[in-house]
Order: sequence, then C-alpha cells, then structure tokens
Amino acid sequence: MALAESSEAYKQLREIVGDENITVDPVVMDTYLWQWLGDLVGEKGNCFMPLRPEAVVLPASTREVQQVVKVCNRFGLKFKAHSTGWISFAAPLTEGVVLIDLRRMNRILEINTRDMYALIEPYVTFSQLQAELMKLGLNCEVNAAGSNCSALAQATAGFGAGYGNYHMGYGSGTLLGVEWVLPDGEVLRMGSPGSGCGWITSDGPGPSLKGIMRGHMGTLGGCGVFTKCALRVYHWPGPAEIECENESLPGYERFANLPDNIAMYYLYFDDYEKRSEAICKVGEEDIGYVMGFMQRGLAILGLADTNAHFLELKETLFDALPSISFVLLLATNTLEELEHQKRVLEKILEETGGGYIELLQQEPFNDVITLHLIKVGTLSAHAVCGRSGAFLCAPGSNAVTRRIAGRLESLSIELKKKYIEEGKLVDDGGEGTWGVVWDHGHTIYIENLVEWDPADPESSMAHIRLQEEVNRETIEKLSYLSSMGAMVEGSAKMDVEDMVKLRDMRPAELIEKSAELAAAHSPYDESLGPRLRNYHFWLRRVREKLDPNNASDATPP
Amino acid sequence: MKGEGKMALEDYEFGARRCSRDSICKFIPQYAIKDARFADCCPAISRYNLHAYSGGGRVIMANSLLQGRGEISEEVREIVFRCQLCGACQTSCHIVTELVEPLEIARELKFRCVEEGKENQALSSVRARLVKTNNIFGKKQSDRARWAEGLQAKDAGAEAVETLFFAGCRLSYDESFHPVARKSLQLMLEAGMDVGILGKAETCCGGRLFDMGYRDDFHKLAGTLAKRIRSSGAYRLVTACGCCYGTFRQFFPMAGIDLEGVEVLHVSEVLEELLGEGKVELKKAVPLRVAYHDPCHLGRLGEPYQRWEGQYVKQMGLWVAEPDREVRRGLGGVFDPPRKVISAIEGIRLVEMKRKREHAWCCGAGGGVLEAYPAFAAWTALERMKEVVDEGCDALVTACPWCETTFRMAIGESGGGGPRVMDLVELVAMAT
Repeated sequence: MALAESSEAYKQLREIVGDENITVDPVVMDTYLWQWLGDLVGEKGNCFMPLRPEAVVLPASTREVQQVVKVCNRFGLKFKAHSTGWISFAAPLTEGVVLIDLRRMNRILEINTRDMYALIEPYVTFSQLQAELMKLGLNCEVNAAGSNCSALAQATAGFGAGYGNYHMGYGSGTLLGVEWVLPDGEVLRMGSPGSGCGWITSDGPGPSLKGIMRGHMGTLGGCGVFTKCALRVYHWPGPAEIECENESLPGYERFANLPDNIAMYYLYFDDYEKRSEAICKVGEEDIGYVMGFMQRGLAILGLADTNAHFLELKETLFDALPSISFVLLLATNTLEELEHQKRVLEKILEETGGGYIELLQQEPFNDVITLHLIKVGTLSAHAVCGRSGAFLCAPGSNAVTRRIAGRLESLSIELKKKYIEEGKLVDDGGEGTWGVVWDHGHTIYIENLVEWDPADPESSMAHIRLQEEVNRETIEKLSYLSSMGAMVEGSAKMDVEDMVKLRDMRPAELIEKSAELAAAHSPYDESLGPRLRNYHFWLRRVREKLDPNNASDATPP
Repeated sequence: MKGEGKMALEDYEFGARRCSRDSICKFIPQYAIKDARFADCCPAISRYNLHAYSGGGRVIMANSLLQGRGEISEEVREIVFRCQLCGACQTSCHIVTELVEPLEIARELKFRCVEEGKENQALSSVRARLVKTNNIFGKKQSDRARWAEGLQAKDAGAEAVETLFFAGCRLSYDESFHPVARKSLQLMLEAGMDVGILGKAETCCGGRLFDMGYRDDFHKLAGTLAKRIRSSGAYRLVTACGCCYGTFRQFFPMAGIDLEGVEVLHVSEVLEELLGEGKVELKKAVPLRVAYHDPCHLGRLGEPYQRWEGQYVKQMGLWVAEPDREVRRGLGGVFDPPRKVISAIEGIRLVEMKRKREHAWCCGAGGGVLEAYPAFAAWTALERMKEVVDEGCDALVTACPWCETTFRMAIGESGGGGPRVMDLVELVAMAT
C-alpha cells in the first residue's frame, strides 16, 4: 500500500526531497521491484518482487537522507537504501518501506593522490571513478559484476569480488572512512574522519566498527544508509585514457592505444593441483596486476556478440580450449619489469607443466579479454545476464582455498550437465566457473555460474533443483568443516530449504510472513551461527541498539 | 501484431520480461567512459532521476502495465512523454543483450497513451496543426518553397529528376536556415547534379508525429509523401535534416512504407562524394577549433531499419533469433562523412567529444520534447554544451537544423555566450 498523498508522512517526505523526487505511483514504483532474481522470490516466470514500497524518494544530500530516515522513525515506516540496485535485495523485503534511491548523490568528492584514496557518494559507478583515477595514474578495484555498479555499495554493503582483488584486496578491504546515517537518523563518521583526521582509515581511534557495519559479505541492505565513503586507490601503470574502438559491439572491442607494458596471458594446466601450485607461485613471486578465472564455457558466453554467435563459437571454440585455466594480466612500470615478470611466469609454467592458451592471446580475443580484466565493463553482464536474463552462482560458490576451488569447479561441471541436456539451463558445457584470487593467491573466490530463463518457470525451477543437488553433493563430497566449509553448508541450507520455500510462497503469504521474517535471523544465520560462535545473536543485539524503532529494512534476503 | 507495419507493446513483452535491470541503459558504453561528468547517455534519467525515466525503467513500466499491475496515471504519462526517443539507451542495452528493446518499448508506450486518449496536450496541439497544414509550424503550404526562390532547381513534381532534395519543415519555414537549404542545393547544382525539389508539394516527413505517439497520422502522411517521392522518378533523395534522414531510413521501413529503391542520403554524404570528385572546392581557410555533434536521427537512428519477421527459438538453453536478426546497435548511421567534410577544410581543428558517434548525447529536441517540455530540451542541450566547452572549442558543428535550433534556444535562454553553433553546410559555405 502506497502512502496517501494526503498523509502527513508523504507531505513531510515531499517537503524534504521536493515534488520531483518522490513517487507513490504503483507503475513508477514497480520499476524498483523488477529485479534480477525476482523470479526466485515472486511469482514464477516473473521478476517483480512481491512487496511494493510505500514511496520512493530521491534525496540529494546526507542531510536529506537523515531527514527521510527520521520521518520514517516518526511515522513507523521502514526504509531501505538503493543505489544502482541490480539485485533482488535492492527491493523492499518487508512491508511499509520507503525506498531511498541515492541516484542524486553521485559526486566524486575528492581524489587524494598523497594519501591514495577517493571520497565518493553512493551513485558513483566504478567506471566513473576509474576514469578519473586513471587520469592521475591511479586505479581502483572494480567489482566484476560490472563497472556500472556503485563503488560505495560494494565496499560498504555488498559483495566485492573483482580481478583487482589479487593485489588490491577484497572490496571491503579497500574501504576507508565511512559516513553512515544510522537507523535513527543520526550520522556516524566511522574511522579517522570521525576524529577529524581525514579519510585515511575505517578503523579507530578505538575499536573498529567495520565488522559491525558490514559483516563478512556486506549487510545486503541492512542497517542505515551509507552516504559517503573513501576507497583506497592504487597505482596504475597504464595510459591516462584507454582509447577503445568498437565499444558498442561486444566481442569486437579493440584497444586503440594498448601500451607495451601491459600483457595478458591465458594459462592452462593439466589438473587443478598444478593450477593451484601455479597460482601460489605467481603470488609468492609478486608478479601480475590482476588475475581471474573464466572457464571456457563462460569465456565463450562473453566473447560471442549474439546468442547465434554463441552457438557457433560453442561448436568451434569450446573443444579447442583447455578446461583448467586462469588468466593473468601483467602491467608494469617499465618494459624491463615486464620482461622480468614474463620470465618469472615462464619459469612457473615450466615448474607446473602449464602453458599458454595462445588462441585467446591473439585477436580477436586478446583485446576483449584484456579490456575486461582492466575495466570489467559489461562483459560479465553480457555473458551471464544478457543471454537469457538471469544467472546465479550455485551454492558452494564462495571464498575457498585454492585446492577446494578446483574440487568445486569439477563438481559443478558434473552436476550441471543433466539440466543442460534437458535444455533448461544455458549450455555452457557445464564449464561456467568464474573466479578471482584474493591477496596474492591465498584465497580463491569462485562462482559456479548457472544461466537460466527467468521468464520460463521450468527453467528457473531447474536452477533451483541444481542448487539443491550441488548443496547436497558439496556437503557430502567436500565436507570440510572449517569456517569456510561451514559457510558452504550454511548457504546450502539457506538455498535448499528457504529459497524453494520463498519461491513457492504466494505474494500474499510472503507479505503475511514478512514481519516474522524481518524479526527472525536469516536462515543463513541460523545455519552458520552455531558454527561461528553464534555471531547472529550478537548481530541481533547490535541491530537492536542501532535501530531502536526497527526502522531499517534489514530483512535477510 | 497490429497489422501491416504496426507493432504493439505486447510484441515486445518477450524481451521485456528478460530485462535484468542492470542500468547499463543509463550510461554510454562502459569502455567509452573517460570522464565521470560525461558518462550518462540518457537525458531523461539524467534530468529526472527516478528509474522509470531510464530505458530499462520504461521496459519495466511496460511489464507493469502489460501485467495489469497499474494504469497509465498522469505521472506515468508525463514520464512516457518526457523522452526524446534518442535511442542511446538501446545502443547501450544491446551491448549486453539482444533480447530487450527499450527504444521501441518507449515509443510503444507513447502510442499506448495516445490510443487510450491520454495524450500530452501540447503535443496534441502540434499534431492538430501538423495534420491540418502538413508542416509542424502550422504555416501555409504555399510558403513551403520560398527558401528556393531564385535557384534553378527542377520541379520534381512536374519533370523527372535524378536527385530529389528534400528540405523538410525546419529548413523550409525557418528563415534562419534558408541559407543552409539554399547552399546545399546550390552545391549540388554547381556540381552538375540533376537535382529537383518537390516545392509546394513537399510535406513534413512525419517523423515527429511518429515519435510523439501518433502512429496512424504518420502512416497517412508518410504514405502520401512516399507516393510523391516515388513518382518524381528520382533514384536518390538528399536531405540536410538529420531528423528527416532518420525518418526515411528508419520509420518508413518500420511502418512498411517502401520508397522502392530510392537511395536516401544526407547532404554530408553527398558533399563527401563531391569533394572526392573535385566537384566542390574548399578554397578558404576557417581557423576554428570545432566539435561535431552527431544528431541522433542521422547517427545511431540513421541506421537502416531491417524488418525481421522471425521468432526466437530456444537452442542450447538460450533464445536464438531465427532467421538471424541484425541487432540494432546504431553503428550503421552516418558518422564519418560529416567528419571528413569538416576535416577537409583548411584551418579547422576537429576534436571529438567524450560522447560521440553511436553513443552521442542528444540535443534534446526529439520525441516532441522540444514542443512539450522546452525547459527539459534546453537542459539537455546545455549538458551537451558543457562538453563542447570542456573540449575548448570555438564552435559546435551539427548536421540537423533541429539540433541547432535547440542549442541556440538553450544558449539564448541561459544568457548567451560560449561556443557558437553552426550547421555543417554553413561551415562549408565559409570555406567555398
């Protein structure tokens, strides 16, 4: 139910943001409900999430965000922050939510070359930030989902996996100071800016609040609204502007000015053990600028410009490519350094029996892959969302050890095949694993990607069934019960028991249950908590303190 | 389907249901972004911010309406008509997916509003005078050819010609553009081309009607005009108006109106050809640093429309067009000829703006926005002018009188000054 335009709450919200920046129109608000993965939650074959907000507002400043949050507290409304908003949990997950679209807060406030950080607002995208940084010889970690995403959202509240994780760290690791509008409307400047010491760290003075603020995988729309943050930036040895040709033609993008000090290597190995060894050595030798995995099925999905072209490449290219691989980009300050890194890589390949996938290091593929590694762009979306409309990583996708990564990868191939043969999932040959390497190879983050048709209920059900199967097999065959393992198990339980449950729930039932869901811990928490020192009870206590009126739409997704 | 040459919103539902709401449609291609200030591609979402204003937002509004989740309210109607239909959203969207067609859906939403009697009142008035007088200004048909007085052009209605010069409404009736029309024709005549004009028999091309939501009126007007063009016997039609060019190349075939082999050219293409043949000489230096603005209907929307009557078939778990379908990426428009003509002038320094070619920022005029929401049109134009200033240019050159009109209006309203705006033909006139 939308707020009545005659209601006091509506009038106060309108007063804050202005007439143009508020809507309660059902069709207009629906544009915030249609979400990738919506078909898993709402009606089958339909991407509309089940719960419309009470209103959508677009504040232009931290002050306006504060005022909106305070109005929500005053009138018993909930609120939810929304930036680029490209996933199901960007929509309201409980009733009575005022959605705060942060699109008008889109400024790069400062790039500090001395202290190496960028201070940004929520709607600054990676591509905007990276373009400005490169002019100054700097770079940032770019989320591999796409450079069209909010850089702040990744670091403060969402996932943070990108090719740059290899030497720049995981997304949240690049987070420095944060300006946080708490659920009661007060502003907290976390880290050094809170003491007037600049935006150089998110920790201290005193105990760090970073863990409370975002958690391991982000708050996913949890407590409060992040209105500014500083991100750590890094050295960029490439050109100030990357000149690209054919930028509107996926699969045919070309560099106009690829400098000699940048080189991409697509590497193959005979088995996962050897690949693991090679990744370890690359990290130990401290060579490479960015690193990642794109299994051959996924690579072909990204390289083909149309679906028809994909069919053609699948026939001609798939078997010509090795299955076990990773891709490494060298980017150095000098040509001498590049030569050194090439020699080190050569030596590592000798020691691990690896080799170059020369086919992908030549045109027409070299530039496409190199550009993607540096800028991400839209190749990820083109590969997995653009083909059929939806994708998700099968459970078991997470931060794992190098060895486990290989085992998950091979398990995924085996289990996907049945559904592919039924024609229910996109046929990537089962080999759709994507991944990145964190912190010089110590940890691997992988996603075993599955693409399906969100408008076809049978197709999305096939995805659900695969999820169940992968979960079961992951637990049975890979029962590593470290904290990593517990996470796999936890996500498995969440997906099997609850995703299907939510999926089968009619919107009316979901609305009925929403309060209960909001009050409860997420199924994910319930499963993981006991294995991880019952963190979820602590989390709940923190939430109660921060959000006395339960105004934040912190429902588990 | 709604009959020959007419699609319906429902015809685009297949793709609409596969929109992933990635917001790619709000930005120029990600690899083309070189400056945070000039990353946006869509004037409507950039100006009004609610997601519904974006290409993807319009697609989702269509999903909402098609599923009966809501109705075309006054707010929805305003959003629908606050769109230039510049097509930038679609160019960006099609980098990710070939299935979704935000531009066509945005236009269909306008058709739907008109069909449901939920017209934009300002546009309703424009439509009424256009239908009555055959020109967008409501001026006399007898004055249509005044711009050509004294020129030795053949009357293509009375005698056969090889090339038909189509002036369009703006060049015909706006006296400030008469020099452009006259010079275009003169250059062709002096080069020895057999050129004629329809004169008083020329009518509006109808493009504005189509993009304002009046599909049936467009069909009638364009159908009659096509007959006149065909009966002229010309095998080439040349226009100096970007909007007319896009109408002939895109809307006519979209509506199933066939010019039966008449090749449609923009004057920049002809000038490039004549320069190559030495039939036009550029004698004088023009010491200017200029940027070239790609008009939407000459550039990305000048890409010829290819009718596709096939279906999507699931293969390997994904939808494949059968028979193969050309994905509209805007690459087939006119981009190089104007640049080559400008670069051929001595003393000119042509610089590229950040948003160029198929992902150029719109001038703000299209889709009836200039007529219905002049402040929004002016805002859009001034956003473009910021880019021109950023490149340190003396002038902005364009190849469509509608673009130039909008830039001039916006600059005038904002107090004037800054880089001048000029037509490509005007620049050529300075050099000849």
